[in-house]
Amino acid sequence: MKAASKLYVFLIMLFLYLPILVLIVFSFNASNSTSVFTGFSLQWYRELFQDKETLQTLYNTLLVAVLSAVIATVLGTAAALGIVRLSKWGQKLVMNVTNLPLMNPDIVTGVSMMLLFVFIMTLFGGSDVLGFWTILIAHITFNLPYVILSVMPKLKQMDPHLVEAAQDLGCPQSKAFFKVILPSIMPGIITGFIMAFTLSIDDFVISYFVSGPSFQTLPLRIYSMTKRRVEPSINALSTLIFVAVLVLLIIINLRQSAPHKPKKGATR
Amino acid sequence: MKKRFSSHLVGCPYYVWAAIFIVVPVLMVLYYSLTDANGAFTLDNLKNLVGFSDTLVLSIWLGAIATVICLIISYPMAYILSRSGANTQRTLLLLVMLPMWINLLLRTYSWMTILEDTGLINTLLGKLGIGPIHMINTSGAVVLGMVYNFMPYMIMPLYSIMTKIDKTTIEAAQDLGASGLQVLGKVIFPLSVPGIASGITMVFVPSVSTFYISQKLGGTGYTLIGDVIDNQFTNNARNMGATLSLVLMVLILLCMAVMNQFTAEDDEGAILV
Amino acid sequence: MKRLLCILLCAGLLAMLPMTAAADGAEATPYESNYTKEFEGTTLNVYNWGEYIDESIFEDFEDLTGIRVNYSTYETNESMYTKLVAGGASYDIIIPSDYMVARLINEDRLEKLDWSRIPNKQFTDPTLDTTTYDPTNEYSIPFTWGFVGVVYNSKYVTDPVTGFADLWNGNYAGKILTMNNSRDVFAIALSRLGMDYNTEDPAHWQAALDLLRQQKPLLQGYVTDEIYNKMESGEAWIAPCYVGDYLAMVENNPDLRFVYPAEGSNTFIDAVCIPKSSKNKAAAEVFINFLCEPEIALRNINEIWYFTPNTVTAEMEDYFLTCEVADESLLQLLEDKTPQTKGQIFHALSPATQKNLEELWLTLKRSSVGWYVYAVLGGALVLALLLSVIRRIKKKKAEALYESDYGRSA
Repeated sequence: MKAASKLYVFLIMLFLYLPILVLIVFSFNASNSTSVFTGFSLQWYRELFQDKETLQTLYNTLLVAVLSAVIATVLGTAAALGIVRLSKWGQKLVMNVTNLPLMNPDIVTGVSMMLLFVFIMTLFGGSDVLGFWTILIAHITFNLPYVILSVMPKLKQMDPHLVEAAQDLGCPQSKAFFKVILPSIMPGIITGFIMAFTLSIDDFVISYFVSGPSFQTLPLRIYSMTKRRVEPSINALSTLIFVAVLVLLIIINLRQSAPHKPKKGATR
Repeated sequence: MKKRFSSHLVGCPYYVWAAIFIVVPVLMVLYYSLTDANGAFTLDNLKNLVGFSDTLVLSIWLGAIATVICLIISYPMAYILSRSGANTQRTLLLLVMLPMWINLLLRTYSWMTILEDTGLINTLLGKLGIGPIHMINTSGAVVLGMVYNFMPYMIMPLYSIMTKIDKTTIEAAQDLGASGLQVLGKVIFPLSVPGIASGITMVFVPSVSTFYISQKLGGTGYTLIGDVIDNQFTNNARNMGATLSLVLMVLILLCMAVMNQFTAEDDEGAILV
Repeated sequence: MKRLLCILLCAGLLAMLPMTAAADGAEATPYESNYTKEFEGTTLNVYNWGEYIDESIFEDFEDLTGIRVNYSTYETNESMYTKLVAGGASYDIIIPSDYMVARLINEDRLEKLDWSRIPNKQFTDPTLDTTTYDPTNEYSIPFTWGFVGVVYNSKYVTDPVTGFADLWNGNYAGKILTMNNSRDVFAIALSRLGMDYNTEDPAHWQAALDLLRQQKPLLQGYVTDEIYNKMESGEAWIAPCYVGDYLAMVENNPDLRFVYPAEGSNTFIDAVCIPKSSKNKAAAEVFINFLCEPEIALRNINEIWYFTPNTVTAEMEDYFLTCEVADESLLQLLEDKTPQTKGQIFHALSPATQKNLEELWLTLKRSSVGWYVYAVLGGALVLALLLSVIRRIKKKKAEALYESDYGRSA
């Protein structure tokens, strides 16, 4: 790279990391100021780990992320298998519907699902529909398109003769699926799963609209924390998240770069 | 032959799911926007939209500015990325993506503490004897928040389309005597139009509909459509909130339709331009 | 582990409970003995203002009764109301302000409290007038009371501050905060106009809106609990403020001062209620009783710095008003009973006025843009359309060219 390019990349990185750096530095601040660094201390980390509520929401977030990602992956992979068999017209219709949550702003998705849940609730005369199940349903719903869109291309790339060959050699249907189709679309499934998982962990807007008092996720907790008297324990929390993600990404990256070819289409 | 193997039925659970949780909610938005609080049919919500035109226009305005700035900043970055060595590419890509994994709320909140009059920048400036510069609660701060939070969405599609540009095409242009600038303007730029189009939509959509960034960085003067929708839902005006959501949805879908045209057109015959 | 212990206790070791409690309690009868594990395993959804309780009491409550508390917070009476009425969530305990209690009673959304489960009602100050919102005293029990004033940072605001009028002072543009709920914000304007807070005259509300519109360009933001950070750090200089919030803030920034507005102000009572959607009314009543335990009330009050309606708590030597408040003027204010006599109380508005207020409030919060933004955006739209048309024509031409060259051979 030329010097000018290097400088440019450096500036962009500075821009991207400045706020994160600030969060990290002030998580070690001795006072609760977020603009003046008065001394090194770990008190905000201590406070964070004593905050039962936050730890509970962390657990909730992971629970929803794992469940919604698994369900969305299974449902989405099955959907992709079905969709490729549809007529061209049917495919177009289903894909347009599938794309809707992708294109819609989060706030509209959140609002529309909330309206649905509340409508169903009033229909059956309940009083508290919003909670764990509504969050889970909403997360599965916005995860599904990502899974489908990462599995579909792999299915289309697959050589149809492979399955035929397997069947000609006397392989029963189910066995052909697990021995031939599944392995060849596995990379797509894994990408879809990882995407679903991270989207679910990160989601705030949709959860904000479909959550109730009995079940809060970490982003919702963070939102209410920034609405109050803010304490640097929130910085401590983001520092820990950052470190965890960094380690995770490095591991994934090392694994990917080692045995496979370096090119990978779907990072997003 | 194939049908024997995996029948249409495997997709059915999803079709049902999509019908209930994707299609019906959209109908719900429509239903609520055409009814009043008691469930009776009304067009009042649609009439009341006039009062929200300023908010809507402001959101589009700031969203558009943020998108353009994002494009200008990201384009060179994506280009540099696509032209660097495989290992550098991987590392830089990782670095671009990494901030996206920190919650948007936290990143925006951090910017607030940086930009405030008593924030980090002004504290540092104060130490140098330079008077406080007012940055928070301006349109600039809101745009900055949008650019910052959604920039990776611009860099990624640009980068991925640029890596697809055949190196030999560029070499051919150079061999035919094109200067660096000409190569950029006549070859690389036209070929990257689909990436630009999808980058624009991916930044514009969340920017227009954001409701946290403007609250934290915009003060009272820059209430955006997302904030207003949120306001309706916390102030017992659900039907109006649904109407505004509907408007936002229609607006975004229109934008997508326009942008998709660019992408689709170029998929078939980019070289014709 | 804890659960196992509980089962053991229930299975016959109940006698141990008062003993262990007495061991670390005071010499008087410890309040802990008032509670049993009758509702063990149930959960209560407590919905409260942000920064308005000592959250550590939930653990003590769970230890005593085995009832788990699910705590969530709201920012305004109105957002609480919305969630309650149509949010699809059920709550067991809410702590609205007076006028909201009245509205909820009018709309038949509150449960009548069973006072036999709340013996600690005896501690509630009988001189506190709750009849304005709960005439029959059946639905609520006061949690705190307080009033609204103006807080300012004496480091930056050097001119004398007399009241709400100073919130319109252009010298502090961008440094002024105001509250983020309709009743409080409009009350400030109505005070300045010398009008009644509960006026049913639309013209009054419109006049208030006009006044608030003049103030909007000077404001830094509409805030609720964000006031703490902004005022303490000096990011904002002057704001209307609940007295308790001021007392909590002045602890961290001694430059802050409090003024009781010359125009008069709002005096309020926040009260604990059980909404009709509650699924654990009896357990909720136990919780209310727990809140009214003088020692628990003391812990809450010393955390949030509002005034207690609990007569026993008010006499305790650790009560912040008797031991910690440095602000003499505030004590004088209470001595003179100014808030009680000069303060206006919010009543529930008629549904029509309520609806009008909601609309005015949302109108106030909307942003406006100059005509040039419309012009630029319109221009950009036209340009985009034009470009797209040109592209199309170009493409058609190119296709035609292609076909004329190669069409025949194909």
